Amino acid sequence: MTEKAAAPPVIDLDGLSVRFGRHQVLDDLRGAFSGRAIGLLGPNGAGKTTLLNTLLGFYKPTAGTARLFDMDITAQGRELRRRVGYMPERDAFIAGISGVRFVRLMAELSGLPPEAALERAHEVFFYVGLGEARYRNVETYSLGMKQLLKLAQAIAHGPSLLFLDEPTNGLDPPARLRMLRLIREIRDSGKARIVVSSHLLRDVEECCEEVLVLNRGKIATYCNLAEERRANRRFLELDLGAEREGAGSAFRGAIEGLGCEVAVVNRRRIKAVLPPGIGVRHIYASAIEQDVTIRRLDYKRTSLEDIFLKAMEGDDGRL
Amino acid sequence: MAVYDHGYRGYGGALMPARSRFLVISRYGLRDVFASRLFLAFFAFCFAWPLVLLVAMYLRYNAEALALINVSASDLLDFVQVNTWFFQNLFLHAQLYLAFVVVLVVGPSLVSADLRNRAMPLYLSRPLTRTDYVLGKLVVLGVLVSAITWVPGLLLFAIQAALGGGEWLAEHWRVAPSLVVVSTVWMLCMSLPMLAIAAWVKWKPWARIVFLGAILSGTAFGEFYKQFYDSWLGSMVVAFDVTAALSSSVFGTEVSIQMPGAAAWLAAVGLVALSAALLYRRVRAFEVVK
Repeated sequence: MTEKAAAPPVIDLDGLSVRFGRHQVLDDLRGAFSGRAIGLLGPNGAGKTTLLNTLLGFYKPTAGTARLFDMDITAQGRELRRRVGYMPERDAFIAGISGVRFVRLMAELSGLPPEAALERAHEVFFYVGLGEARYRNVETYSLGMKQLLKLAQAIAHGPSLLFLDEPTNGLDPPARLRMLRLIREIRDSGKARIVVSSHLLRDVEECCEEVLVLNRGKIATYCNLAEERRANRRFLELDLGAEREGAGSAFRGAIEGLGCEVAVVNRRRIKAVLPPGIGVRHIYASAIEQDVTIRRLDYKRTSLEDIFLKAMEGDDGRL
Repeated sequence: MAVYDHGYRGYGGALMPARSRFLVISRYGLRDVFASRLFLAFFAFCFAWPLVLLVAMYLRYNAEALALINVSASDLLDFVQVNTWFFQNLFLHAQLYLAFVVVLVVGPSLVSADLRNRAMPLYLSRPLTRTDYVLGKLVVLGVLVSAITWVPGLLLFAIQAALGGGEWLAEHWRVAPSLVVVSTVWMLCMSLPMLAIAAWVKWKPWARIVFLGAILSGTAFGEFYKQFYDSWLGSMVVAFDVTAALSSSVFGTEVSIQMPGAAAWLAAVGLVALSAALLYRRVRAFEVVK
């Protein structure tokens, strides 16, 4: 979770709890998230969609509250929803109208004047790649087209925050790649922050900078993927070749001299953490100086899957 | 995001006022309704009877025109008495039957498709409340019902007032507000239950059948109750009795049924409240399963 800076966090959860009857769906969620793209991960029933729906004002929190861009979700819900775009998980459309009219209606409901809404509707259709199908009745769209249509209506009014609930659901591989590319493009444009809810680790890993893992309505873990990737670049695992007696120890001493933290796994394998300013080329230079062959050099690869699985582990270490 | 640009861009232009946002729903709803030629033809037919009454009113005051069609002025004066009864029964009650058909045809298509296709999260994720949504849909029916009830009614009233003079106007001034009040209350009493049923049934033909069934079964039960217990209480569930009693209480005319005007108002308010409650239970982004 990022520290509160001058700009307010995108999402600020303050003890947010939601209960349906006797079922506690969200339990005391806390934290502030400021990434350009935030991933919501968790197994089915973890509370991802409920969290999105609560942030959108569909469900009332039973305790606590949340703020989006420093605006309270309950007290300033209407104003917030003007700035938000939402792509629901399941099929959702208005029957009997063409795609462009549907998106225009949605843009007008967000406050755009009719002419601007029509212009934006055409633009987003071309943007998501449905330009040729924009006059077709939405009921005739394929599943992949409906997903893109949902994205189109979510971005038609130029929101500053986009909620995407399982955006790649039911898409074939090319359509999935296209959807992920669009999400990355919107993220990189800097015009909108994105919250992606998904149970697909790969999708989240490809689009998001921060990941919030939910499990049984609680925050299981939070991970800043960008920082994690940067940190991973500092962890090295080295396999050394069989050299003259004492060369390995001398090499370890040399890289310790560079400021690296070194751990010996066995006689031929060591792990090192590089300090700032020291790169792999310094390690190779030391190896040459000490007459040591580096047979393998790997960066640590903590994947999102590792992080997710660790977060899902119970107290007894079982999933 | 321009067509030539193909990059994402936000929107920084002007925005429409939030308070009138529900009218977007009404505007789109009306456009969809009039997209059907069959409905357009029926809607045009709804103005036939007011036109006939207008011609009769005109002829009543135009001896030359009457002479052309070989009708004596006294015969027509006897036949067409333009008074409160004329506006209440001859005009309004006849038009309400047509308005009933309009509500029956248009009402279900406004709501059921949205709920069946899970469009509610799309509406409610925008700066729009559930009240705005219902209001937007209700305005569609309100405009249609008004257009064939009190709007032509007031037009006829104004023409008659111009033809009849100040004396007639002083005697019948109550007709004008009564036309508006009865039409509006009737519209609410029919539209909200229709929308509520459509929201629960989610399938247009079934919603119409359930609505008709509710009216007919209420009438059957009410008539049976009236006959069996010899009490006007049965009229509380008979749509025609409630309309007649309510209309008579507003127009200030004699009521042909025993039901008091206050009871008719109570039935109307109860129906509207119950329908609104049922509708609000259904018009949600997502069902909460406890």
